[in-house]
Amino acid sequence: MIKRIVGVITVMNNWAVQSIGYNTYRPLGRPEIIAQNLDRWQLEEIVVSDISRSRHGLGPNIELLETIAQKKISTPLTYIGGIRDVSDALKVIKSGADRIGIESLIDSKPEAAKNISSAIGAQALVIAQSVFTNGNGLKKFNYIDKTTSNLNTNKILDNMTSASELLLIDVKNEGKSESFNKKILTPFHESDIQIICFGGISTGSQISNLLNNKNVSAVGIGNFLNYSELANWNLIKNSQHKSTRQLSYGKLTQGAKEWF
Amino acid sequence: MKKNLVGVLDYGTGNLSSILNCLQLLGCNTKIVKKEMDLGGISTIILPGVGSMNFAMQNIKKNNLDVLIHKIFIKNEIRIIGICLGMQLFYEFSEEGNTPCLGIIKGKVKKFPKNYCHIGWNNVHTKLLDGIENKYKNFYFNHSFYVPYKKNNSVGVTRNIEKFSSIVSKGSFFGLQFHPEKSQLIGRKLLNELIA
Repeated sequence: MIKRIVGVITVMNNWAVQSIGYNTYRPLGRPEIIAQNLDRWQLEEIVVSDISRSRHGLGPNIELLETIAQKKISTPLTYIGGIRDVSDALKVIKSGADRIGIESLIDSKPEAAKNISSAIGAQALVIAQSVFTNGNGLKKFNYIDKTTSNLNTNKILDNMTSASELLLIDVKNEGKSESFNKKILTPFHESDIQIICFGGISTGSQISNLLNNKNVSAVGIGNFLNYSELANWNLIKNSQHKSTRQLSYGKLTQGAKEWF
Repeated sequence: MKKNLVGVLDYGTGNLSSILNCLQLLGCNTKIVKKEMDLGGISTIILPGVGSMNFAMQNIKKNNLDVLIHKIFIKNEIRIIGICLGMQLFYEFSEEGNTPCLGIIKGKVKKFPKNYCHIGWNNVHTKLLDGIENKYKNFYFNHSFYVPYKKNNSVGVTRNIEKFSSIVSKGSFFGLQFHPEKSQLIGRKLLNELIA
Protein backbone atom coordinates (compact mmCIF):
# COMPACT_ATOMS: atom_id res chain seq x y z
CA MET A 1 0.00 0.00 0.00
CA ILE A 2 1.27 3.44 -0.89
CA LYS A 3 1.76 5.76 2.05
CA ARG A 4 0.39 9.26 1.76
CA ILE A 5 1.47 12.87 2.16
CA VAL A 6 -1.66 14.74 3.20
CA GLY A 7 -2.04 18.51 2.90
CA VAL A 8 -3.96 19.94 5.87
CA ILE A 9 -5.84 23.23 5.55
CA THR A 10 -6.88 24.66 8.90
CA VAL A 11 -9.84 27.02 8.57
CA MET A 12 -11.05 29.61 11.03
CA ASN A 13 -13.98 31.93 10.29
CA ASN A 14 -13.76 31.00 6.60
CA TRP A 15 -10.07 31.86 6.30
CA ALA A 16 -7.22 29.40 6.00
CA VAL A 17 -4.87 29.98 8.94
CA GLN A 18 -1.49 28.91 10.19
CA SER A 19 -2.11 27.36 13.56
CA ILE A 20 0.62 27.18 16.19
CA GLY A 21 0.02 25.10 19.30
CA TYR A 22 -3.75 25.59 19.15
CA ASN A 23 -3.47 29.16 20.40
CA THR A 24 -1.89 31.35 17.74
CA TYR A 25 -3.52 31.74 14.35
CA ARG A 26 -2.17 33.69 11.38
CA PRO A 27 -4.21 34.22 8.22
CA LEU A 28 -3.02 32.51 5.03
CA GLY A 29 -5.76 33.28 2.54
CA ARG A 30 -8.77 31.66 0.94
CA PRO A 31 -9.06 27.92 1.68
CA GLU A 32 -10.34 27.07 -1.81
CA ILE A 33 -7.26 28.62 -3.42
CA ILE A 34 -4.95 26.62 -1.15
CA ALA A 35 -6.97 23.47 -1.96
CA GLN A 36 -6.56 24.23 -5.65
CA ASN A 37 -2.77 24.55 -5.18
CA LEU A 38 -2.49 21.29 -3.24
CA ASP A 39 -4.49 19.57 -5.98
CA ARG A 40 -2.14 20.95 -8.64
CA TRP A 41 0.85 19.81 -6.58
CA GLN A 42 -0.62 16.28 -6.47
CA LEU A 43 -0.72 15.71 -2.74
CA GLU A 44 -2.29 12.30 -2.02
CA GLU A 45 -5.12 13.79 0.01
CA ILE A 46 -6.40 17.12 1.30
CA VAL A 47 -7.84 17.50 4.80
CA VAL A 48 -9.92 20.61 5.44
CA SER A 49 -10.31 21.15 9.18
CA ASP A 50 -12.64 23.99 10.17
CA ILE A 51 -11.83 24.68 13.82
CA SER A 52 -14.45 27.38 14.24
CA ARG A 53 -17.49 25.12 13.84
CA SER A 54 -17.76 22.75 16.85
CA ARG A 55 -16.52 25.31 19.36
CA HIS A 56 -19.37 27.65 18.37
CA GLY A 57 -21.97 24.88 18.01
CA LEU A 58 -22.17 25.44 14.29
CA GLY A 59 -22.76 22.61 11.85
CA PRO A 60 -20.35 21.71 9.05
CA ASN A 61 -19.21 24.45 6.70
CA ILE A 62 -21.19 23.36 3.63
CA GLU A 63 -20.69 26.70 1.90
CA LEU A 64 -16.91 26.25 2.08
CA LEU A 65 -17.14 22.70 0.70
CA GLU A 66 -19.28 23.91 -2.18
CA THR A 67 -16.79 26.67 -2.93
CA ILE A 68 -13.96 24.11 -2.99
CA ALA A 69 -16.04 21.76 -5.20
CA GLN A 70 -16.41 24.58 -7.74
CA LYS A 71 -12.63 24.45 -8.20
CA LYS A 72 -13.05 20.93 -9.67
CA ILE A 73 -10.23 19.45 -7.68
CA SER A 74 -9.46 15.77 -8.27
CA THR A 75 -7.59 15.01 -5.04
CA PRO A 76 -9.41 13.04 -2.34
CA LEU A 77 -10.89 15.42 0.25
CA THR A 78 -11.57 14.79 3.93
CA TYR A 79 -13.58 17.35 5.89
CA ILE A 80 -13.50 17.88 9.67
CA GLY A 81 -15.49 20.42 11.66
CA GLY A 82 -18.93 20.73 13.23
CA ILE A 83 -20.42 17.39 12.18
CA ARG A 84 -23.16 16.54 14.69
CA ASP A 85 -25.16 13.67 13.22
CA VAL A 86 -25.92 11.49 10.19
CA SER A 87 -27.73 14.31 8.45
CA ASP A 88 -24.65 16.57 8.70
CA ALA A 89 -22.38 13.75 7.53
CA LEU A 90 -24.51 13.08 4.46
CA LYS A 91 -24.62 16.80 3.61
CA VAL A 92 -20.81 16.94 3.80
CA ILE A 93 -20.43 13.95 1.47
CA LYS A 94 -23.00 15.37 -0.95
CA SER A 95 -21.08 18.65 -0.98
CA GLY A 96 -17.96 17.00 -2.32
CA ALA A 97 -16.02 15.42 0.56
CA ASP A 98 -14.90 11.82 0.14
CA ARG A 99 -14.50 11.25 3.84
CA ILE A 100 -15.44 13.01 7.04
CA GLY A 101 -13.58 13.39 10.32
CA ILE A 102 -15.04 13.73 13.83
CA GLU A 103 -13.32 14.55 17.10
CA SER A 104 -15.44 15.90 19.96
CA LEU A 105 -18.51 13.94 18.81
CA ILE A 106 -16.85 10.62 19.58
CA ASP A 107 -16.98 11.53 23.30
CA SER A 108 -20.06 13.71 23.47
CA LYS A 109 -22.34 11.49 21.35
CA PRO A 110 -20.75 8.08 20.70
CA GLU A 111 -24.05 6.71 19.34
CA ALA A 112 -24.18 9.47 16.72
CA ALA A 113 -20.66 8.54 15.65
CA LYS A 114 -21.69 4.89 15.20
CA ASN A 115 -24.77 5.91 13.23
CA ILE A 116 -22.61 8.05 10.94
CA SER A 117 -20.36 5.08 10.30
CA SER A 118 -23.37 2.90 9.42
CA ALA A 119 -24.71 5.54 7.04
CA ILE A 120 -21.55 6.41 5.12
CA GLY A 121 -19.43 3.31 5.80
CA ALA A 122 -16.40 2.92 8.07
CA GLN A 123 -14.10 3.57 5.11
CA ALA A 124 -15.41 7.14 4.91
CA LEU A 125 -14.98 7.97 8.60
CA VAL A 126 -11.81 9.30 10.25
CA ILE A 127 -11.52 9.79 14.01
CA ALA A 128 -9.32 12.75 14.99
CA GLN A 129 -7.73 13.08 18.42
CA SER A 130 -5.69 16.02 19.71
CA VAL A 131 -3.10 14.53 22.04
CA PHE A 132 0.25 15.09 23.69
CA THR A 133 2.54 13.21 26.01
CA ASN A 134 4.50 14.51 28.96
CA GLY A 135 6.25 11.20 29.56
CA ASN A 136 3.42 9.97 31.75
CA GLY A 137 1.02 8.41 29.27
CA LEU A 138 -1.01 10.04 26.54
CA LYS A 139 -3.09 13.08 27.34
CA LYS A 140 -6.05 14.20 25.36
CA PHE A 141 -6.66 17.89 24.75
CA ASN A 142 -10.20 19.17 24.43
CA TYR A 143 -9.79 22.11 22.08
CA ILE A 144 -13.26 23.43 22.86
CA ASP A 145 -12.94 23.93 26.62
CA LYS A 146 -9.10 23.76 26.63
CA THR A 147 -9.02 20.99 29.26
CA THR A 148 -6.82 17.89 29.31
CA SER A 149 -7.54 14.33 30.45
CA ASN A 150 -5.94 10.91 30.21
CA LEU A 151 -6.46 9.28 26.83
CA ASN A 152 -8.15 5.90 27.07
CA THR A 153 -6.42 4.02 24.24
CA ASN A 154 -8.65 0.95 24.64
CA LYS A 155 -11.68 3.13 24.07
CA ILE A 156 -10.03 4.64 20.99
CA LEU A 157 -9.28 1.16 19.63
CA ASP A 158 -12.88 0.17 20.26
CA ASN A 159 -14.14 3.27 18.44
CA MET A 160 -11.84 2.50 15.53
CA THR A 161 -13.98 -0.52 14.57
CA SER A 162 -16.38 2.07 13.08
CA ALA A 163 -13.71 4.14 11.32
CA SER A 164 -10.93 3.72 8.79
CA GLU A 165 -8.10 5.86 10.17
CA LEU A 166 -7.07 7.65 13.33
CA LEU A 167 -5.75 11.19 12.88
CA LEU A 168 -3.37 11.84 15.78
CA ILE A 169 -2.62 15.53 16.22
CA ASP A 170 0.37 16.44 18.36
CA VAL A 171 -1.07 19.50 20.13
CA LYS A 172 2.13 20.63 21.80
CA ASN A 173 4.16 20.57 18.60
CA GLU A 174 1.58 21.61 16.07
CA GLY A 175 2.98 24.42 13.91
CA LYS A 176 6.56 23.89 15.09
CA SER A 177 9.36 22.67 12.83
CA GLU A 178 10.42 18.98 12.93
CA SER A 179 8.93 18.30 16.33
CA PHE A 180 6.18 15.64 16.09
CA ASN A 181 6.62 13.47 19.19
CA LYS A 182 6.86 9.82 18.08
CA LYS A 183 6.07 8.63 21.59
CA ILE A 184 2.46 9.48 20.80
CA LEU A 185 2.40 6.41 18.56
CA THR A 186 3.69 3.98 21.20
CA PRO A 187 0.32 2.88 22.66
CA PHE A 188 -0.86 1.90 19.16
CA HIS A 189 2.18 -0.12 18.02
CA GLU A 190 0.57 -3.50 18.61
CA SER A 191 -2.74 -2.58 16.99
CA ASP A 192 -3.89 -2.97 13.37
CA ILE A 193 -5.27 0.54 13.09
CA GLN A 194 -4.07 2.93 10.41
CA ILE A 195 -2.80 6.27 11.68
CA ILE A 196 -2.34 9.70 10.11
CA CYS A 197 0.27 11.74 12.04
CA PHE A 198 -0.11 15.50 12.11
CA GLY A 199 1.55 18.38 13.97
CA GLY A 200 5.15 19.51 13.68
CA ILE A 201 6.08 17.52 10.58
CA SER A 202 8.30 19.52 8.27
CA THR A 203 11.22 17.52 6.81
CA GLY A 204 11.77 14.59 4.43
CA SER A 205 13.78 12.54 6.92
CA GLN A 206 11.09 13.01 9.55
CA ILE A 207 8.41 11.89 7.09
CA SER A 208 10.46 8.85 6.13
CA ASN A 209 11.01 7.99 9.77
CA LEU A 210 7.30 8.21 10.59
CA LEU A 211 6.20 6.27 7.52
CA ASN A 212 8.51 3.42 8.55
CA ASN A 213 6.03 2.64 11.32
CA LYS A 214 3.83 -0.19 10.10
CA ASN A 215 0.56 1.40 11.16
CA VAL A 216 1.33 4.95 10.02
CA SER A 217 -0.51 5.20 6.72
CA ALA A 218 -0.01 8.92 6.15
CA VAL A 219 1.54 12.12 7.45
CA GLY A 220 -0.33 15.41 7.46
CA ILE A 221 1.47 18.66 6.72
CA GLY A 222 -0.08 22.05 7.27
CA ASN A 223 1.96 25.22 7.75
CA PHE A 224 5.09 23.87 6.06
CA LEU A 225 3.38 23.54 2.69
CA ASN A 226 2.80 27.26 2.61
CA TYR A 227 6.35 28.57 2.45
CA SER A 228 7.23 27.74 -1.15
CA GLU A 229 5.73 26.68 -4.44
CA LEU A 230 5.51 22.87 -4.82
CA ALA A 231 6.78 22.43 -1.26
CA ASN A 232 5.75 18.77 -1.28
CA TRP A 233 8.24 17.93 -4.04
CA ASN A 234 11.21 18.59 -1.81
CA LEU A 235 9.66 16.67 1.05
CA ILE A 236 9.05 13.58 -1.08
CA LYS A 237 12.42 13.80 -2.81
CA ASN A 238 14.28 14.20 0.47
CA SER A 239 12.41 11.45 2.23
CA GLN A 240 13.11 9.03 -0.64
CA HIS A 241 10.66 6.71 0.97
CA LYS A 242 10.00 3.59 -1.07
CA SER A 243 6.33 3.39 -0.13
CA THR A 244 5.35 6.86 -1.33
CA ARG A 245 3.72 7.35 -4.69
CA GLN A 246 5.75 7.52 -7.89
CA LEU A 247 4.71 10.71 -9.62
CA SER A 248 5.27 11.44 -13.24
CA TYR A 249 5.21 15.20 -13.20
CA GLY A 250 8.93 15.38 -13.76
CA LYS A 251 10.65 18.72 -13.48
CA LEU A 252 7.78 20.95 -14.42
CA THR A 253 4.79 18.59 -14.57
CA GLN A 254 5.54 17.82 -18.19
CA GLY A 255 5.45 14.08 -17.59
CA ALA A 256 1.76 13.68 -16.87
CA LYS A 257 0.74 16.44 -19.25
CA GLU A 258 2.20 14.44 -22.10
CA TRP A 259 -0.40 11.76 -21.42
CA PHE A 260 -3.13 13.93 -22.94
CA MET B 1 -14.29 20.18 -29.28
CA LYS B 2 -16.88 18.59 -27.00
CA LYS B 3 -16.90 14.83 -26.73
CA ASN B 4 -19.82 12.42 -26.71
CA LEU B 5 -22.67 12.88 -24.28
CA VAL B 6 -21.93 11.04 -21.02
CA GLY B 7 -24.73 10.22 -18.59
CA VAL B 8 -24.33 9.88 -14.84
CA LEU B 9 -26.88 7.52 -13.28
CA ASP B 10 -28.53 9.07 -10.24
CA TYR B 11 -29.62 6.22 -7.99
CA GLY B 12 -29.85 8.35 -4.89
CA THR B 13 -26.55 7.70 -3.20
CA GLY B 14 -23.42 9.74 -2.65
CA ASN B 15 -22.48 12.85 -4.55
CA LEU B 16 -22.48 13.22 -8.28
CA SER B 17 -20.54 16.45 -8.37
CA SER B 18 -17.02 14.93 -8.34
CA ILE B 19 -17.65 12.76 -11.37
CA LEU B 20 -19.54 15.53 -13.20
CA ASN B 21 -16.63 17.92 -12.55
CA CYS B 22 -14.14 15.35 -13.84
CA LEU B 23 -16.15 14.71 -17.03
CA GLN B 24 -16.44 18.44 -17.62
CA LEU B 25 -12.65 18.79 -17.25
CA LEU B 26 -12.38 16.17 -20.00
CA GLY B 27 -14.57 18.32 -22.22
CA CYS B 28 -17.61 16.01 -22.14
CA ASN B 29 -21.22 17.03 -22.30
CA THR B 30 -22.94 15.52 -19.27
CA LYS B 31 -26.47 14.57 -18.32
CA ILE B 32 -28.02 13.12 -15.15
CA VAL B 33 -29.88 9.89 -15.97
CA LYS B 34 -32.80 8.84 -13.79
CA LYS B 35 -34.92 6.79 -16.21
CA GLU B 36 -34.91 5.19 -19.67
CA MET B 37 -36.30 8.35 -21.27
CA ASP B 38 -33.09 10.18 -20.33
CA LEU B 39 -30.88 7.92 -22.45
CA GLY B 40 -31.27 9.76 -25.77
CA GLY B 41 -27.92 10.55 -27.40
CA ILE B 42 -25.87 9.07 -24.59
CA SER B 43 -22.81 6.97 -25.50
CA THR B 44 -21.57 6.18 -21.97
CA ILE B 45 -23.22 6.00 -18.57
CA ILE B 46 -21.31 6.26 -15.31
CA LEU B 47 -22.57 4.50 -12.16
CA PRO B 48 -20.90 6.56 -9.43
CA GLY B 49 -20.05 4.81 -6.20
CA VAL B 50 -20.43 6.19 -2.73
CA GLY B 51 -22.81 4.72 -0.15
CA SER B 52 -23.88 1.33 1.10
CA MET B 53 -24.81 -1.62 -1.13
CA ASN B 54 -28.23 -2.44 0.32
CA PHE B 55 -29.35 1.19 0.18
CA ALA B 56 -28.10 1.45 -3.42
CA MET B 57 -29.87 -1.75 -4.54
CA GLN B 58 -33.10 -0.70 -2.83
CA ASN B 59 -33.07 2.57 -4.77
CA ILE B 60 -32.14 0.88 -8.02
CA LYS B 61 -35.03 -1.60 -7.72
CA LYS B 62 -37.51 1.01 -6.55
CA ASN B 63 -36.86 3.00 -9.72
CA ASN B 64 -36.69 -0.06 -12.03
CA LEU B 65 -33.11 0.83 -12.90
CA ASP B 66 -32.11 -2.86 -12.56
CA VAL B 67 -34.35 -3.63 -15.54
CA LEU B 68 -32.89 -0.69 -17.46
CA ILE B 69 -29.27 -1.73 -16.75
CA HIS B 70 -29.96 -5.31 -17.93
CA LYS B 71 -31.59 -3.94 -21.10
CA ILE B 72 -28.50 -1.82 -21.80
CA PHE B 73 -26.27 -4.85 -21.23
CA ILE B 74 -28.23 -7.00 -23.70
CA LYS B 75 -28.42 -4.26 -26.37
CA ASN B 76 -24.67 -3.65 -26.03
CA GLU B 77 -24.89 -0.15 -27.53
CA ILE B 78 -24.10 2.05 -24.55
CA ARG B 79 -20.97 1.65 -22.45
CA ILE B 80 -21.52 1.54 -18.70
CA ILE B 81 -18.68 2.38 -16.30
CA GLY B 82 -19.28 1.43 -12.67
CA ILE B 83 -17.08 3.16 -10.11
CA CYS B 84 -16.31 1.57 -6.71
CA LEU B 85 -19.76 0.54 -5.39
CA GLY B 86 -20.92 1.01 -8.98
CA MET B 87 -18.56 -1.78 -10.04
CA GLN B 88 -19.58 -4.07 -7.17
CA LEU B 89 -23.23 -3.67 -8.24
CA PHE B 90 -22.43 -5.67 -11.40
CA TYR B 91 -21.85 -8.85 -9.35
CA GLU B 92 -24.37 -11.43 -8.13
CA PHE B 93 -24.12 -10.89 -4.41
CA SER B 94 -22.41 -8.66 -1.85
CA GLU B 95 -21.53 -9.48 1.74
CA GLU B 96 -22.30 -5.82 2.47
CA GLY B 97 -25.73 -6.21 4.05
CA ASN B 98 -25.96 -9.68 2.37
CA THR B 99 -27.41 -8.01 -0.69
CA PRO B 100 -28.31 -9.68 -4.00
CA CYS B 101 -26.95 -7.38 -6.74
CA LEU B 102 -27.45 -6.97 -10.51
CA GLY B 103 -25.86 -10.29 -11.55
CA ILE B 104 -24.27 -8.99 -14.75
CA ILE B 105 -20.95 -10.64 -13.77
CA LYS B 106 -20.72 -13.96 -11.92
CA GLY B 107 -19.18 -13.77 -8.47
CA LYS B 108 -19.44 -12.38 -5.00
CA VAL B 109 -18.28 -9.16 -3.34
CA LYS B 110 -16.51 -9.94 -0.07
CA LYS B 111 -15.55 -8.01 3.06
CA PHE B 112 -11.86 -7.49 3.80
CA PRO B 113 -10.80 -9.42 6.92
CA LYS B 114 -10.39 -7.74 10.33
CA ASN B 115 -12.52 -4.70 9.44
CA TYR B 116 -9.73 -3.60 7.11
CA CYS B 117 -10.43 -0.53 4.97
CA HIS B 118 -8.40 -0.07 1.81
CA ILE B 119 -7.88 3.70 1.83
CA GLY B 120 -5.50 5.69 -0.29
CA TRP B 121 -3.44 5.13 -3.39
CA ASN B 122 -2.44 1.78 -4.77
CA ASN B 123 -1.01 0.33 -7.95
CA VAL B 124 -3.23 -1.23 -10.61
CA HIS B 125 -1.52 -3.80 -12.77
CA THR B 126 -3.24 -3.48 -16.13
CA LYS B 127 -2.59 -3.50 -19.84
CA LEU B 128 -4.88 -0.52 -20.21
CA LEU B 129 -3.10 2.85 -20.54
CA ASP B 130 -0.56 1.27 -22.83
CA GLY B 131 2.51 3.52 -23.04
CA ILE B 132 2.46 4.61 -19.41
CA GLU B 133 4.90 2.82 -17.14
CA ASN B 134 3.17 0.56 -14.63
CA LYS B 135 4.78 2.32 -11.66
CA TYR B 136 2.70 5.41 -12.47
CA LYS B 137 -0.61 3.53 -12.62
CA ASN B 138 -1.60 4.44 -9.07
CA PHE B 139 -5.22 5.23 -8.29
CA TYR B 140 -7.25 6.33 -5.26
CA PHE B 141 -9.16 3.58 -3.45
CA ASN B 142 -11.69 3.94 -0.66
CA HIS B 143 -13.49 0.68 0.12
CA SER B 144 -13.86 -2.11 2.66
CA PHE B 145 -15.46 -4.71 0.33
CA TYR B 146 -13.73 -6.24 -2.69
CA VAL B 147 -14.03 -8.67 -5.61
CA PRO B 148 -11.54 -11.55 -5.24
CA TYR B 149 -9.30 -11.80 -8.30
CA LYS B 150 -10.44 -14.21 -11.01
CA LYS B 151 -8.98 -14.29 -14.50
CA ASN B 152 -12.39 -14.06 -16.15
CA ASN B 153 -13.55 -10.47 -16.58
CA SER B 154 -10.55 -9.00 -14.75
CA VAL B 155 -8.43 -6.48 -16.69
CA GLY B 156 -6.75 -4.87 -13.72
CA VAL B 157 -5.46 -6.35 -10.50
CA THR B 158 -4.33 -4.83 -7.19
CA ARG B 159 -2.78 -6.28 -4.06
CA ASN B 160 -3.13 -5.17 -0.49
CA ILE B 161 -3.94 -7.72 2.20
CA GLU B 162 -5.78 -9.63 -0.57
CA LYS B 163 -5.32 -9.81 -4.32
CA PHE B 164 -8.44 -8.38 -5.92
CA SER B 165 -9.91 -7.27 -9.24
CA SER B 166 -9.55 -3.52 -9.57
CA ILE B 167 -10.73 -3.23 -13.19
CA VAL B 168 -13.30 -5.62 -14.68
CA SER B 169 -15.10 -5.78 -18.01
CA LYS B 170 -17.90 -7.73 -19.62
CA GLY B 171 -19.45 -6.75 -22.94
CA SER B 172 -19.86 -2.98 -22.93
CA PHE B 173 -19.56 -2.82 -19.13
CA PHE B 174 -16.45 -1.65 -17.31
CA GLY B 175 -16.00 -1.63 -13.55
CA LEU B 176 -13.34 0.33 -11.63
CA GLN B 177 -12.86 -0.44 -7.94
CA PHE B 178 -10.97 2.85 -7.48
CA HIS B 179 -12.11 6.42 -8.04
CA PRO B 180 -10.71 7.77 -11.33
CA GLU B 181 -12.39 11.10 -10.66
CA LYS B 182 -10.25 11.43 -7.50
CA SER B 183 -7.04 10.04 -8.99
CA GLN B 184 -5.76 13.29 -10.48
CA LEU B 185 -4.15 13.14 -13.95
CA ILE B 186 -3.85 9.37 -14.26
CA GLY B 187 -7.52 8.96 -13.31
CA ARG B 188 -8.64 11.47 -15.91
CA LYS B 189 -6.40 9.80 -18.48
CA LEU B 190 -8.05 6.40 -17.89
CA LEU B 191 -11.56 7.82 -17.91
CA ASN B 192 -10.74 9.69 -21.10
CA GLU B 193 -9.74 6.44 -22.80
CA LEU B 194 -12.78 4.54 -21.56
CA ILE B 195 -15.33 7.09 -22.73
CA ALA B 196 -13.64 7.82 -26.07
